[in-house]
Amino acid sequence: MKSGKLTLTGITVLSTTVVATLGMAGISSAKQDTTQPVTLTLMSWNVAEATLQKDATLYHKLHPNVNFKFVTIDSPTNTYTKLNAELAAGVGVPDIVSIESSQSESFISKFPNSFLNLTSRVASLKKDFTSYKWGALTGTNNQIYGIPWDTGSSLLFYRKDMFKAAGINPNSIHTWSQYIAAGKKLTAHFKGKVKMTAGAINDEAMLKMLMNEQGTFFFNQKGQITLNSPAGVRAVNLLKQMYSSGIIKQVPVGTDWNDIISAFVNNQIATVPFGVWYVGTLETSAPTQSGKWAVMPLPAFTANGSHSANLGGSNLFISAKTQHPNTAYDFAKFAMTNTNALNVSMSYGIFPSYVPYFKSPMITESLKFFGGQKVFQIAANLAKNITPENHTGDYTTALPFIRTALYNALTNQQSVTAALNTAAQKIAQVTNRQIVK
Amino acid sequence: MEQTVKLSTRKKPFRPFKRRTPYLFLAPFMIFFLVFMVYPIVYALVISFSKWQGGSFQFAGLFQYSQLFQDSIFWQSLVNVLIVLVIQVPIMLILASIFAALLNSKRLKFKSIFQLGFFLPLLIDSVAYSLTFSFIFAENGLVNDLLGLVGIHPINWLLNPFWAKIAIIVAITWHWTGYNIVILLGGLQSIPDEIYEAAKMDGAGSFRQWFSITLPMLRPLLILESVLSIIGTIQLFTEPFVITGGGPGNSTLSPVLYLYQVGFQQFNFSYASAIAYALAIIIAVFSFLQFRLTRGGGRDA
Repeated sequence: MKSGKLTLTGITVLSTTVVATLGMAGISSAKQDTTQPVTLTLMSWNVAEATLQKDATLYHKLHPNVNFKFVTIDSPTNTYTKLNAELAAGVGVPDIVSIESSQSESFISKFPNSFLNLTSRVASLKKDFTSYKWGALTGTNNQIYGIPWDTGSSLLFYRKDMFKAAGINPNSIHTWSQYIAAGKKLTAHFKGKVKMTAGAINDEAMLKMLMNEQGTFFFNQKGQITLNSPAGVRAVNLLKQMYSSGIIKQVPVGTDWNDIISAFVNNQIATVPFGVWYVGTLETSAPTQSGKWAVMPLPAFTANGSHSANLGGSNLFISAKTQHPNTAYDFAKFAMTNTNALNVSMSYGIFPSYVPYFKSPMITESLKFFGGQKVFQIAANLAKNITPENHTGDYTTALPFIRTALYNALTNQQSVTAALNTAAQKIAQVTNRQIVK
Repeated sequence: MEQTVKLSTRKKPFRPFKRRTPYLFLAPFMIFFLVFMVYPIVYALVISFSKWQGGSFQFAGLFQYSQLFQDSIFWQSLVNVLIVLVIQVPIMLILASIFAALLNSKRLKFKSIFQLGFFLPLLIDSVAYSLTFSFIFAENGLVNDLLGLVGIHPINWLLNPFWAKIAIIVAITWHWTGYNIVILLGGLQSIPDEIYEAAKMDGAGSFRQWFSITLPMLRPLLILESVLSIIGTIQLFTEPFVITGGGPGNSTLSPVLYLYQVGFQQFNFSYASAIAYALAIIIAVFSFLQFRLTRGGGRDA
C-alpha cells in the first residue's frame, strides 16, 4: 500500500513536472515566436513603398526582432506584372504586397488560394474602415483577403497663378462645361503653351471618375455591365468634347504617368483631376511650385450634380505561403491603423480609410503647398457622397476593350454609343456577364 | 558457337560504358533543354486547351482558340506587323545591298571603321536603343527639333497611328540594317573577280554588272535575309513595348506584345498560350516557304 501510494505520488509528481515542463516549453516557444528574428518581404510601388518603409522603421522600434526586405517597383502596373508571374509560379511571392482596389478582386478570383484568408482576423476591424473598401477585398466565397489602406476621393488640382493670369475665377467652375470654357480661355491666353490638363487618349482614369460621379461604374453592384449605360455615354461624350476643344495635352499611353508629371513640373498644364493621393506626387515633384497650387471639388455634370468620385485607393495583402502569417498580419494592421503609421501615409498624401483616424489633427491641417488650404478636410467631406464602384474579378479582362472603345470614340472611328456597345458586348462574351439594358 | 557467345558476353560490360560517355557530356545541355525548352513548350500547349478557374487549370477544349479567332485585337496586331514588314523589310534590304556594295568598293578607305559603324547598332541592347528612340521621337525630341530647323511643323510621332508605325520602322531599320550588310558583304566577297573582269571585257558598265552579276549571285542570301527578317518582325516586341506601348489605340500592338499583355497584365495564361501557338503556326508557314524558296535559290546558283 505504502509503496503503492508512493508510486502514485511519484507518478503525480512526475506528471506535474512533465506538465510544468511542457507548459514552460509552451511558454518559451511562444516567447521565441516573438523574439526570434523574423524577416518580412514587402513589395509595393514608389510613394506607397516609401510610406511602408517608414512604417517598417516605426514597427521595428516596437518589435526589434522583425526586419524588412523591400522590393520597390516603379509603378502599380509593373508591380502586378511581377506579382502575377510569382503567383502563377508559386515561388518568390512577397509576404506582404499592396494592390489597388481596382485590381484586388481580379487577383482574388484568379488566385483564390494564394492570399492569406483574413476573415476572422479583420472581423473586429470591419466597422472601423470606410464600408465600401471591403467589397474589393471579398472573394466570391465571402471571405476577406486584404486590409484596406487609402481612399481615392477625387479633387481638381489647379494652378492659382495660371488661372489668375488668364482671368479665370476658380469659383465660377461648377460644371464640366464651365471647365471646358475656362480651358479654352486659358489655352488661348497662353497661346497653346499651357493646356488645361494632360492625358493619354485611351486612359480610363477620367472615364472612371466621370462615371463614378454619376453614381455608377463599368459594372453595377450585381456585377452586370453598365459601361454602355446612359451615364457611360454621357461621360465619353464629355471626354470627346474636351479632346476636340484642344484643352488637353495628349501624351502617349505607355508613359502617361511620368509625362503628366513632367507636364506640370514644366508649367505646361494648369489642372490635374486625380485622387487625393496626388498631393504627394505634386509636393515631391514640383517643390518650387509650392503655394501656386490649390484644390476644388471635381466639376459636376449639372449645376446641382454630384462632385464626388473615387479614383484608386490601395490595400495590403498577405501571401498564403508566408512563414510568418501572424507577424505579417500584425505589421499590416499596424501600418493601416496605428496613428503614427497613418501620419506617415498622410505625409505622402495617402488618405487612410480607417475611420477613427478621421479625428486626427492631420486631417484638418492646412497644407502650405496649397496656399494653406485644408485639402484633406475637403477630400474627406467629398468622400461622404462617393458611390462604391464594383470592379469585379473581371476588371483586368475588361480594361483592354474599354481602352479600345475610348480610343475609337475619341478619334472618331466609331460613334460613342457604337464604341461602348461593342466593348460591352465583347466583355459580356468573354466574362459571361449580363449587359444592363 | 560457344566461343562467339563467350566473346560477346565478355564484350558486353564495356559497351554501355562506351555509349554512356557521349550522353554524359551531352547531359548538362539536355537537362537544360528539357527543363527550360521542351517542358514549357509542351506545358504551354496543354494550358492552351484549358481555362484558369478557381486557382487551377480546367480542360476547356478549343475554347481559347475559338476566342482567338473572334478576337479583333489579335487580328489587328497581326495586320500591324504585316504592314511593318511589307514596308520595312524591302527598305532595309535595299539599304543593306547599297551599303554592302559601297563597303565592298575597292576605292573605299578606312573600310573597317565604316563596317564597325554599320554593325555597332546591333551590339546595343534593344531596350536601351528603344528607349533612346522614344526620346528621339518625343514631342520635344531630336527629330522634331531638326524638322523645326527646316521649317517643318513638329509631328506628334507617338500619338498618331501612322507616324507611330513609321517611328517603329525607323528604329528597327536602324538596328538591323548593319546585320544584313555584314551577311551581304560576305556574299559579295565570295563572288570571284574573274566574272567581273569577263563582264568588263564584254563592255558591261557597273550598273549592268550590278544587276546581271551581283544581284543574281546574292539572291540566296537576300532570300535568307528576307525570311529571317519576316520571322523577326512577326516576333516584334521590345520596340513597340518601349517606344509606343502598343499605342496609340492598338496601332503598334504586335502579337507578342499582345501575348504579354494577356498573360502578364490580364493574368490569362491559357489565352496567352493559345496566341503563342497560333503565332508558332504562322511562323512555321513562313519557315516552310523559306525552305522552298532557298532551295529554289540554291538550284539557280
